[in-house]
Amino acid sequence: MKKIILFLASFLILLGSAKVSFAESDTLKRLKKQGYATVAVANEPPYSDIKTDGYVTGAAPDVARAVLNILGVADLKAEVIMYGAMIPALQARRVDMATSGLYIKPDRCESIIYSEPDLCGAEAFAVPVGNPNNLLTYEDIAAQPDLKMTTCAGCAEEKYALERGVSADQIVYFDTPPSGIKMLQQGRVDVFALSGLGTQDLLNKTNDPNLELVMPITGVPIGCAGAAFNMDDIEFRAEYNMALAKLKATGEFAAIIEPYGFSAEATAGESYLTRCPDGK
Amino acid sequence: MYWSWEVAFDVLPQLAKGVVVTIQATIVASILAYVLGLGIAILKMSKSKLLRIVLYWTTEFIRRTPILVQLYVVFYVLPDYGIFFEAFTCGVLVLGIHFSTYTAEVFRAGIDNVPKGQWEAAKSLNYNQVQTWKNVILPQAIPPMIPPLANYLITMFKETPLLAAITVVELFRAADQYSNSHYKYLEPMTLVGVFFLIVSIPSAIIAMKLEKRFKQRKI
Repeated sequence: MKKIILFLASFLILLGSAKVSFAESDTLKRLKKQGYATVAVANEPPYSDIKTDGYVTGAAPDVARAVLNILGVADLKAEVIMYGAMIPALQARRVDMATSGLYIKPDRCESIIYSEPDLCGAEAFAVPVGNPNNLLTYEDIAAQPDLKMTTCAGCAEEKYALERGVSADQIVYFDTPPSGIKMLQQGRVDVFALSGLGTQDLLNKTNDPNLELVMPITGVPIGCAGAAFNMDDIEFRAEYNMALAKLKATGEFAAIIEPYGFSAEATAGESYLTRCPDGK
Repeated sequence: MYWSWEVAFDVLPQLAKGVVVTIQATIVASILAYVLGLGIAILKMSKSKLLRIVLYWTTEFIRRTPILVQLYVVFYVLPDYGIFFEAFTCGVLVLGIHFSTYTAEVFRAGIDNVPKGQWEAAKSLNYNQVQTWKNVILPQAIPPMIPPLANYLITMFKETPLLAAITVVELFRAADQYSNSHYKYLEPMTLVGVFFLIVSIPSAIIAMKLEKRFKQRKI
């Protein structure tokens, strides 16, 4: 009798677990099986930060790690990819997700899908101390065509600049944010544009009294980033969003991002539904 | 992902600008590589042992370190020591100097190939140094050097995308920037590859023909 009960019980457990995994998306199943997710990061602290020993941290990967843990995926492996190249990487499935503070932008929503926003923040410039060219907005850069600005290719700041009249010839693209700051220090460019917290972090680390932070930049929206997925991962995105909502509800979310300088409250009213056309 | 002519035509104007920079960089860098290479080759034959040793180690050092590292040093590090060049200048200086250490070997081999009797003949005509080089040695040494020098020209042309690493918007970087802001890689990168092929295959054929011609002449 005991044996039969044991058999039945184990059968039920098997059935139960089979049922659970049936409900899971194929992507989540695969990630669980391999034990990690490969994520694209840009190495732009505090959004994403790769320690010298290779450990991936920063606000966005830390959130993703916590969310994936809830989903049963143990860890992250990161690939450093420039912002512009993250979308092709997702499309080609070189990475499972991009967790690097990739802003939710309408044109990006046509190529990839986003989770609910996890990090929102203002924009900033870094300029020589005293702001000699009086640059407070992108329009100020556009009005002085002999000035050069640096930002990353394919990132939100490039679009902000081009949309506000900065000519393509004025933009010198940096490969990594620190090399952009270096170009500013050496006078190769007149202004460095990036996310507010990213710029602030760089200036703190550079600790150069000849540079100055301009924040926030008026006339550009608050940028909100989320984890990004391949277009076909709609189910996985839904699973991710559910776990992210759990994380937000427990307060653990705030505990992760606030030490990095981000505000959990800033994401409260935000959703990819409103930031992407057609709520994709 | 399929080929889109729309994207291809959209990216062309930007690539055209990049092509101009690529060609400019190739020409300036190769002139530098040739002039400097010849200078190094001649100086390496100097009687001063010290000069020869210094030149030997300098060229070894340049040849045995990666171009990319040299580019970064010249672009990012030298300005901290007060030596500042524009990005394009940094690029052609590094490419030109790097390849001058190779062309110097070509020049040296070419000069060595001139029979010793020619030097003695020049001496017997009471030519001075300049006359000897100009009238006797170089006219005989240069023709056989042309094919290998042409090959270095093609190599330098193919190395110009390295300048993208220091923000020079040559052909590759122009394509890369387009890719980064439009999330399309297929068309821009294919067009870059096609352009390099269109230029380098005919150049390689010309270099091969030149090589044949000079070989025949020897016989």
